[in-house]
Amino acid sequence: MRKIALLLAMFMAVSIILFAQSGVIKGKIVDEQGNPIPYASITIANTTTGVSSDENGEFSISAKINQMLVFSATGFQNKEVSASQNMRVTLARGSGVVEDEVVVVGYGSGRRLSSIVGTVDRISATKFKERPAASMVDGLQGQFPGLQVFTSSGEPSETSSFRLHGVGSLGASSTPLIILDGIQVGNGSLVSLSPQDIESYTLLKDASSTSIYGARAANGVLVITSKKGRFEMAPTITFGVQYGVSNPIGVKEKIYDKMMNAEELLDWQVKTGNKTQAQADAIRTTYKNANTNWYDVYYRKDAPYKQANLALSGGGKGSNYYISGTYYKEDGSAWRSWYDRFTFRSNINTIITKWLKFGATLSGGVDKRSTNPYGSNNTNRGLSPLRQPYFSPVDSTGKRYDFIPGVGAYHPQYLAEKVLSSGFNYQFNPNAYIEITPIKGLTLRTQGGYDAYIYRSSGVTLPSYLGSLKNGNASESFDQGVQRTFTHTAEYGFNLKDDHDFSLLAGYEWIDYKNNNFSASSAGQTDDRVILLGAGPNNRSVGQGKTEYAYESFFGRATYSFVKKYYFDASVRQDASSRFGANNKKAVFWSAGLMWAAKKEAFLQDVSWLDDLNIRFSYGTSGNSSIGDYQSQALVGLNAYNGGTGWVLSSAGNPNLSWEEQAKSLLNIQASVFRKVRMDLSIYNRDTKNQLVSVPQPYTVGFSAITQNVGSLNNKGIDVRFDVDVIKNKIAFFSPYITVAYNKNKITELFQGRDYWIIPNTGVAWVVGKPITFIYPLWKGVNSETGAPEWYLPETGEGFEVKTQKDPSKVTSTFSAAGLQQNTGIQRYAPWSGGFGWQSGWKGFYFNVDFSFVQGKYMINNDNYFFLNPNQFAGFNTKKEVTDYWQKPGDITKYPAWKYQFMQFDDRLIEDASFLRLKTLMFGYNLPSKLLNQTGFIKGASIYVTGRNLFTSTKYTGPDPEVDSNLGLGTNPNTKNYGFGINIQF
Amino acid sequence: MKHIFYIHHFLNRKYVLIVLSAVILFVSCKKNFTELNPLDSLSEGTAFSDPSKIELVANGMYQQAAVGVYDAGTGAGAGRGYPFGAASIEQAEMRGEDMVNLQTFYAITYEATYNSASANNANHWEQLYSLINQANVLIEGASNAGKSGILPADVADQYEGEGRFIRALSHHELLIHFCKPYADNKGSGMGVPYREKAVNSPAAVEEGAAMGRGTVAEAYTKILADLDWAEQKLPVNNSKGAARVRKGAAIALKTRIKLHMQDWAGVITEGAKLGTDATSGTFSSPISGFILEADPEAPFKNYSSSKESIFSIANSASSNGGVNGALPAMLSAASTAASPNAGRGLVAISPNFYNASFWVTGDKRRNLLVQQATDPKLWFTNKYWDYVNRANWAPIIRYAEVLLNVAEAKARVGGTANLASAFQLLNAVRNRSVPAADKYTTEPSDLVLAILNERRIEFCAEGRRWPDIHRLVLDPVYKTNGIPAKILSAQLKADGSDYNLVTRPMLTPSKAAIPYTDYRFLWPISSREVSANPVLRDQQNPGY
Repeated sequence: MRKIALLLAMFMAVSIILFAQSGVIKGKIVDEQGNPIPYASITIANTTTGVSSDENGEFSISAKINQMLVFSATGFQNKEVSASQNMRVTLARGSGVVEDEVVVVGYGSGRRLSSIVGTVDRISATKFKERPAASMVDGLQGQFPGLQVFTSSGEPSETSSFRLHGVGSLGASSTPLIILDGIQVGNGSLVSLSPQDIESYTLLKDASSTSIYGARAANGVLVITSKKGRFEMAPTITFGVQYGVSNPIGVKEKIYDKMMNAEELLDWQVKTGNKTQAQADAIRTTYKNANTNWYDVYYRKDAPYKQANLALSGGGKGSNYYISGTYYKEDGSAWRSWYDRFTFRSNINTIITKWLKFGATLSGGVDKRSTNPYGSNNTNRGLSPLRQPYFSPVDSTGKRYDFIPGVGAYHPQYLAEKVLSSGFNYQFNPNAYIEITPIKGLTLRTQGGYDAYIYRSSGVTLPSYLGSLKNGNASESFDQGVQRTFTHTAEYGFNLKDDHDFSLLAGYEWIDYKNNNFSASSAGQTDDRVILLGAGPNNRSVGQGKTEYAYESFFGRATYSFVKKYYFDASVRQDASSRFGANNKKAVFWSAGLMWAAKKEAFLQDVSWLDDLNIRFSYGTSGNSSIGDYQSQALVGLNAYNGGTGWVLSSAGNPNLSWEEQAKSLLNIQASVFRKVRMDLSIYNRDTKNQLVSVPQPYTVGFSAITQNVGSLNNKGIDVRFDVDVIKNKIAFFSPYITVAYNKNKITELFQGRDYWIIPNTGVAWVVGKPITFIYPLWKGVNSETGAPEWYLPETGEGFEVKTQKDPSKVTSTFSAAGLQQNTGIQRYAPWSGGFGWQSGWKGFYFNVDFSFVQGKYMINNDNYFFLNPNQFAGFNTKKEVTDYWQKPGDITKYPAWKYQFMQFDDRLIEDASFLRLKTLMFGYNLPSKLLNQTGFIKGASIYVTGRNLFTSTKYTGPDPEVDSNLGLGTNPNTKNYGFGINIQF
Repeated sequence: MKHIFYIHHFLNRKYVLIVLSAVILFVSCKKNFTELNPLDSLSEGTAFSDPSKIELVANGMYQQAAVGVYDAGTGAGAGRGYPFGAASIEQAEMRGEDMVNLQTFYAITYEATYNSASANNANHWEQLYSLINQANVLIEGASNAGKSGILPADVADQYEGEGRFIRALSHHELLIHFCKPYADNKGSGMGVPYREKAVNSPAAVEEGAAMGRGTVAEAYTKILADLDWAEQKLPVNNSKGAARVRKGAAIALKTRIKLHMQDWAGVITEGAKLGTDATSGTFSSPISGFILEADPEAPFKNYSSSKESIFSIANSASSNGGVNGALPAMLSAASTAASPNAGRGLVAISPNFYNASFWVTGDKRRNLLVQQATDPKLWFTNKYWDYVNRANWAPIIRYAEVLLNVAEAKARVGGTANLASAFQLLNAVRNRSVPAADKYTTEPSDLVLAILNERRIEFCAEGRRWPDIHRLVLDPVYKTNGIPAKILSAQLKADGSDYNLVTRPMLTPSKAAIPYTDYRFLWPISSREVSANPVLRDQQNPGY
């Protein structure tokens, strides 16, 4: 009898499920002109269930008829509509920011942005997908308030650097944690992924959203979500091509064109005694009055890039898919610089039964890359402006010299042909999950993924290279890194008495990483046809390295909301890591946050100009563990002596080594007013203590440094974003935005009781009570009576280097890099950053512009030491401005008398590298659907022109102010790209 | 029915088993998941647990002496033969006048334009102290292993003795570059911190950082104490020959140390233990059987087996200072008639030394020189000839030096018997090389000068020149006065015509001498040291 009852109960349960399993609602989302809105978000109101629309604005969602659905999309206002079959939903144009979408923030299922207590910013990737750059991160510059993004070189394969809310640590990395579809990936992996496959970027900024990532989250978290297919969606093929060219920024106008031309240089050299008139005349004759601008020799004009992408997405009743392939090829502006990438992605989700979901992603990239090696102080590119214009790279018949006479160096193209090096990267990012829903509200999820690469590089100097004729060399290396992440979560959400919503999450995660590399080289190859390692009998060497790390973590989060007005969120995480000392393997991080949806209060309901107001506050801790492996251990290194193995104590070890700790509080206010203006403002305070610093030790103790937890650092600041809908009607829209962020950095404690520490050979010091600061000798000027250079004498005694004394009566003409250094008062890291731009459209045309800026950025222009030092580098070319030098008493000049060195490493080299840059420009036209409908198979088409870095404004006299370093030397500048493209959907 | 129990639905399905087992499989991981040890090195605790491992630690100390870790100022890089695998020899020659620097590589050392951040002197300081710490690790570890019975007492003593020898040698190398000579007021100048404690934790670092420089005399006392201990405990023979420290090496080094202290009697006493009191005119050591080779080239041709080598630092194809450090790369000609790709042509023999009247024309030691085959056709040393593998060992002390050390001491003490013995010792070294016609038949009028000149020829390119300049700087008769005047490479003719044994031309050095009183006679303590060490910051050599 009981068995029958049980069977009955089960039957009923199944029936109810079947009943509850209402139909699939299909529909289409369009804008006011009737154009489809792709990737809009559709959620069932008051749930976390959601889907997004496809490229054609079409969607399908499992929902009951008349259930309330919430529609939202980038650049549009939200709309709530009750479900019906074959819905057609029109959204009104709104801001460029996605207001309310379902995002996965810190494990578990997705939540609507408006219900997340943490401060998170989300940007749809649609806006960047046609940007002409290999790196997906490059375009984020100026978009997220508080996130600084820099691309330091024009190499097509360059990885961008980025940091949130200032430099978080003096010793460990400041790069945010990057999560791709729930799996941690390295910054270097991003360049091997296609920006075309990305749906959105979400930046987690406060403790409430990041603490649950524990020991890796101190620098914020960037969550990247790839595109998915949709259920019940007809197969759609998206095809796009783009072609364009790139040219280096600034280097011609700001450097080569500022150098002397042939006549100027010869006259100068005669005047300054470097050459006699007879020698100068002989040069004119021998080199036939050549006047070479070496820019044309060392850089390529209009280096081409091209891109093609093909994606197929769709879905049936139980499965959906997104499959894509992208090809990208870009030639660098410097010789022997290129990037050639193919990526593929296959995202598949399947609902096996009501209670069991499964999804798998296969993502990979294969690329070949080569980078120009002649940076820094190398005359084969970086310092090539020093080449004398009176020599010529071609002979009288116009044929290229291999070895340029007079210059005494090889032609850069010859070097590119003879000294080769290229890398082959195989990137693989698969992940899969299983999700079980055993009872309503409870979700058990297991996800596993890899971030794996194999990097193979090959270098060869051909035996025919005249620099080492018949004595070639070859090297081969293999580098493999595999990081595995496995996460198990249980999440239970329930509602009590309608007003009280609870959600509880518990999880367990482990991550491990293994790196394995080896390399081999040999020399002595004699023939270009036989250049493998075995053909080189000399200097054979092999090397191998292996390293590992592991994390094991438990975490939990509880969220509670009352009448959807007051939200509370708390999280806790315990991490253990192999990187830390035996005495300090584990650490606990926590956070607590509040959100007040103020607009829902009765007293604000009637305030008609206020559309929405949310106030958030959170406080919590997180950690930084981005240091090398094994630094807590006293290690014995292996080597060889006299045919036997030797052990050397290679590091002192520190069994107490522990996490760098950070506590962050953040207040966020989001408001929108007059249905036109939206504002998002955050104020934060970020305290870092027990920083992971490689603390310098006296060499007499046997070790130069030991990694220890020392000192503290504070960052506080404010960032804000405004979006305004200036024009918004059926035929046109114009929505400008601006982001501005200010960060104040201050060192609050150092180590060994010090007040300051000068980082050797960098020009940078850490001073307690100050931001990270440049210290350099301070230039006073040229003495107009004597023509001698003068520097301010620093104070004397302990710590003079970090004080400033600019007493005109205390000067010296004897330079000393160490003895004259003083506090310049100039910050190493820029306090201000941001961006502005707009999205606009008229009928089918669209025109989007994104500027970014950084203010208060300074850099040592190391190249000017060479370009402005004609007597030190006599015989080389020099900038024209050196003619402003002292010649007789009374002269007021920029440079001293000829007998003195014109340029020293003093604060004349520290330049304001603040910049304003037109990061992205996009102008396009969506073909009208009426026209396309006649074809019967083309669903959408657009043509566009685009540009990257088209305009830069800066005072910096080096080529590119965007370099993220204390020094600019031999910079291979970012490129200006122009291109055009076509996108078609079938 | 408020909650809908999906679970009843799926209990029937075999999926359940698959899913749950998959979940469990993922969840379980190794027990000590986050306790990882390095895969290419070992944690220190394992190093002194059994005898075979202690042997490895000893090897490690020698390797640190042979290759080191060169830091160009921006972080540790590959080894460059610091301090004893090559650098001590190269730098000592570049501080002297018998070899000429041709390229920028050693220009700072050669022309005395160094400062506290210059890589050559900074790395020498840093790598010597790094080696001293490795020696201290070995000394403490071996001593503890002896006490706890892991090692037999005599074996423990042997390792400790090797460690003490290296510690003494390293401190002496510091004294000759960073301190005034003992001859200046009996070593009352500032010395160097004499470090005798192993550092292997941040706590030990703090303990050690407080040590000041002390005096030169105090350092010499400790050097001799270490060498006396080593002499007592080290075995006479080992299976590794000159690549490892033996009893004889400790005694031989004492003859050098005491020469620097002008302790002539002490030199004579120590030398006697190695057979320098023989009256027959031929010399060999009763300890370890050191001899003078009949052919002066033999110690270099057979660098690993010659019985003339008392102690050398062993280099090998797989372990050497590399292209930027190893002796064959740095001191050899770029090309020779026999080898089109030889060394790097950075440092030539000075023509003034080549043409010096005291170096006779037929001297067999001229066979250890070679002319560069391509321009500039200068003469280079050929003592380090293994250009491909760079495996030549770095000679630290040879039996010939012991003989000349004792010869000088005896010549300075004087008296008929001593002078006769000194003359015999000089001839033993000299006569194997010079043509019969040039052999001395009677004592030269200035025997000490003859011995000092002989040292320059015999130890050419072996790094003995600077130590001699340093110890003799205040000598009443033979004083070197300071850093000698030097020929600059621009003065040399590319065709090699400055080298001429017939006319023996002398160039006037265009780089002026630097007197002993000039601050540049001493190297500065490295800037990275003084910035991290307040005690030594206050004791930096004056002028820096």
